[in-house]
Amino acid sequence: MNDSTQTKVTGLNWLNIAIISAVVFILILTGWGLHRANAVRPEAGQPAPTFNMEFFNGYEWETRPVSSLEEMRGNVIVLNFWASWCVECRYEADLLEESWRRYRDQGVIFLGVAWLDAEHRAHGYLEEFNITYPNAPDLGSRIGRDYEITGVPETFFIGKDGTIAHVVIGPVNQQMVDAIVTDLLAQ
Amino acid sequence: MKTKTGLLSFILTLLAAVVLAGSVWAQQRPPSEISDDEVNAIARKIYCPVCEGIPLDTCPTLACIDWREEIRLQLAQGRTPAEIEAHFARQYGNAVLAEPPREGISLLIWLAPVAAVLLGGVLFGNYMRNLRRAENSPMTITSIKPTSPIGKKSKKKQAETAVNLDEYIQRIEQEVDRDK
Repeated sequence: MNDSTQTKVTGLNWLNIAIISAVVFILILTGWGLHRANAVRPEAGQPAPTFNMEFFNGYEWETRPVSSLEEMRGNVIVLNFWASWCVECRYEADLLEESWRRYRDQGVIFLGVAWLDAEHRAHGYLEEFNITYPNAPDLGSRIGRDYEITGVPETFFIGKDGTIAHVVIGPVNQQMVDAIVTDLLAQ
Repeated sequence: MKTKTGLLSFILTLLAAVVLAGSVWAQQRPPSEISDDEVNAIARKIYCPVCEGIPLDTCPTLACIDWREEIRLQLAQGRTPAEIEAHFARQYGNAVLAEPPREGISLLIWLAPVAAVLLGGVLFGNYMRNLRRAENSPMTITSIKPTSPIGKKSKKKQAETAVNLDEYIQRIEQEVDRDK
């Protein structure tokens, strides 16, 4: 084989490597996109995706302005996604606050996550309903994405072991909250 | 002397305070003074994920009205459009921006088309070069350039095939001559 042929063969190999790399890269990117697009909401029996939250001004959990779901493990958690522009969220706002006041001393944490909400509006909503349980904005919509929520309100009831026990799409009612929380506390 | 120095520093401090207050006052305006055009200039670069595919300036939902109000408030506080867009990306994720930021993984979205065009150019150039070479060389099987990498075995095999074909063509030519 002469030198020119050798050069051509080497050049061809590099070109092929480049093409194969590009195709593999595009396939990985497409696969990742499909995986993200087809991700389903975590259901009952699955571990609750953990997350960090930076509470709104004036809100905290155990005097901490920043916390994570992991740190709250061992408690029953009622994770509620809401927004000030959501009409249905208003139906359950008082109920959630009353339930928090009733169960807070029994190892139940109510957590509010403001989803896609303008901060000044979210503050107004919290004041309007005199909500005192820990509330935080969903910074970067990361929590909503991990829980694959499709709208608000959505409520996830999480057991002491960090497993999702119930998912409620739409507003919750008092009977539902009492039944689920009592059941989770007994476990 | 001491009194003069004291007076001078007092005047300088006063001047600095006036300049600072002036610049702050110039930057901050009451929200009512912010026009819809100013708000919409930024709103059209932001998309609301609640109503997918619709820019904020034309979206009629409550959420988008609130977001436009948020833009107005931030403009009133003297924030620049770039700062407001960055705020929205931080609060709600990069997905709300019409133009993804040119950093991190979003940079791939900008680089991928350029890379695709470059790769396409290289492939096309290579194809054209091969085509021209094939046209200039005599029409024999051996002149056809393979499109896949050639290993040692395949090169040997190709050489054998070329020899066999040459012999085959020679035989055909001989038979044609004989028939004449």
